[in-house]
Amino acid sequence: MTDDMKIEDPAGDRALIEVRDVHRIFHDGAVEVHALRGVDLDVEAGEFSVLAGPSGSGKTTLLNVIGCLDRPTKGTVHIGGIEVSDFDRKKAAEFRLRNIGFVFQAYNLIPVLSAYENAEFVMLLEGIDREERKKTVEGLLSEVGLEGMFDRRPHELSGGQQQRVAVVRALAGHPMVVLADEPTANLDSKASEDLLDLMYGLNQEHDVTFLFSSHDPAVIERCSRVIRLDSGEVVADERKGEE
Amino acid sequence: MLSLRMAIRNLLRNRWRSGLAAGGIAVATAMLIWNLGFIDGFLDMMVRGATDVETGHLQIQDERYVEQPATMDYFEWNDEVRQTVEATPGVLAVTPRIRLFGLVGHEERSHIGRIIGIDPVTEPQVTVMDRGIVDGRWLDESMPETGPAEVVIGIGLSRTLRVGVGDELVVIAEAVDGSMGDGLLEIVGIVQTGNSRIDRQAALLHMEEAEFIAAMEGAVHEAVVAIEDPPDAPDTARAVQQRLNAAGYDHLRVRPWQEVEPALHQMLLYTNTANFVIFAIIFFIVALGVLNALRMSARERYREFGVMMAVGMSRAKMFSLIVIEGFLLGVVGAALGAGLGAAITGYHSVRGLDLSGFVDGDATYMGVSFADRIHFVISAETLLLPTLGLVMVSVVCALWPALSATRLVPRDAMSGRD
Ligand SMILES: Nc1ncnc2c1ncn2[C@@H]1O[C@H](COP(=O)(O)OP(=O)(O)O)[C@@H](O)[C@H]1O
Ligand SMILES: [Mg+2]
Repeated sequence: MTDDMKIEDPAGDRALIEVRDVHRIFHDGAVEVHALRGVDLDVEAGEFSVLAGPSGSGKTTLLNVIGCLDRPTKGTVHIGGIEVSDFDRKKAAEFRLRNIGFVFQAYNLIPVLSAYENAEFVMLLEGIDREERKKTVEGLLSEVGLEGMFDRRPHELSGGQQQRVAVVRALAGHPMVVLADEPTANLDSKASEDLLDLMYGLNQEHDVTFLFSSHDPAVIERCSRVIRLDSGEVVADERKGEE
Repeated sequence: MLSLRMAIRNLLRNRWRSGLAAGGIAVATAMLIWNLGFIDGFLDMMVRGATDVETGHLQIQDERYVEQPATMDYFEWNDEVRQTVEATPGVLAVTPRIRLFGLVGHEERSHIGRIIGIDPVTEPQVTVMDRGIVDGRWLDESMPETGPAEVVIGIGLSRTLRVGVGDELVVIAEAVDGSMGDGLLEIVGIVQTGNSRIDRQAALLHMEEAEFIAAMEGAVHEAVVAIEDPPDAPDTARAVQQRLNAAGYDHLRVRPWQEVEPALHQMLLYTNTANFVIFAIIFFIVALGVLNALRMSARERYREFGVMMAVGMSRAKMFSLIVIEGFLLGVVGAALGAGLGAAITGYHSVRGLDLSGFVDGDATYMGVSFADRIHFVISAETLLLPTLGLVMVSVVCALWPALSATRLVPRDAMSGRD
């Protein structure tokens, strides 16, 4: 790892993401909510996998813990061989910026920025110079079918187009993994389909590792690996096409 | 640059809210500039009313005279003293005076008078008494060869005594030896200066005639000095004092107008305090409005902030983003207000503000009558103080919402838990 926390050479013989006995307990007033109960999980580089499970099963919580947006109450998370589960806020922010791409369910984009500006947001925070940003962002936006819409504000884009911009923003920083929490939840089935096609294409062509959460059968269908969560526990983990 | 772009667009997002906040800042800025211009104009008028007409910027007297004015406590007025004073840097002009206390009369009427012997040539270099002539003329350069000596009296005194130009006047005053001296004078002019001490009581006559009445020679009661920079009178007074001391005249006291007219000086100090209070109140009111606008706008964007921080934006950047918004709001509002304030105040400094509807014609305050028009004073200080002050208020108001934003936990902010 370099000073700026960018993982250069992931893992070696270890998995890209290693989750070990992760627990997360929320204190909601006097009530303790045990959102994760001892999750163990390895995600390899290049995988296209999904955390599946009913609402409240702990998908978002697990993605947050992996994405350094939350710290486990107990257990460890390693990404690229680095233990991220004990990062403080500042380190976590820096690590997210350098290594993790995010696509959220909604309110993904900054309303006052254009599609292009949203797409380059992470690169800008990383301090990447203008020329390189332009090359990367223009290329990716065109690749996801948004040429001619660079100057549009989020409200001038459809839900599917907005999510594409979010995907480009996530990818532009060349992350180790893209975490997408129910990325299709607000989309109709056609738009969901298209977004998944797009992400699958990126996974295949650019070798980007994707980890989704979803309870949408259409999404689950498309993923090569399905990790089923229930009440904060991994209850099934199946890889397709490995028959 | 991104921060600036975002801040501008965020402010434009809710034009009404930002516009109202900026408008509030603008109005407050303009109001404070106008208010300072008015107060400075008023003070300027007061100070000039006192110093320009009678007091001058510095007064030199014998130390005994300072303690308790008495006719016999004069000092020798010679070339050495005059030149020492004139040679001090910052001094523009000096004029000597003999001051006698007595009665001024015409036929069966008489009135207490301030009988002042002056040098008709140098007095106008120090005060503006001569410009107050409303009837007749100023004293001639030298005493008339024959006939009665000349006198110029205040307009109030002329009314009391029911006299006018050409009438004779008798003055009776205490001489230095304790006896009573008198003189017969002819009124050559009437003055109206706006300074009630002059207008109601003064009889201005040639030094030589005053010397004659008081039986003194080559001596005066005071020398009055005009200087370049009136507010700095204390410094110049010290410089003159030092030179006089060095020349062996350490029995003379040089006092700046602030000391001669302590009430006036006190008023200036009180005004500063009053200004401070006005500023504090206005700043507070503006702050409430701006704080409300910035906080509301920040709170509405918590989800957005959550996303920005989730993808890796630092807390410092988050903080600066909101502070920049406050700064921009302040700069735009204060700049508009400064323009507006400068325009109105500038107008009133050139044309004056008509106060005749508010004060009656003879109103005086501390011996200075109100002019019908008050001319505002506009300066770098009166422009910048409110402008920069309100930009600062706006920035300070941004600190709270900015700090709150940095405390957001991205995952909670995004899910709307904050
Ligand atoms: N910040 C929180 N405070 C309290 N309870 C929470 C918090 N976040 C999640 N939970 C609870 O944890 C459980 C798992 O939530 P979540 O991970 O959001 O599930 P999913 O994404 O699968 O719907 C739920 O019972 C939820 O109410
Ligand atoms: Mg969820």
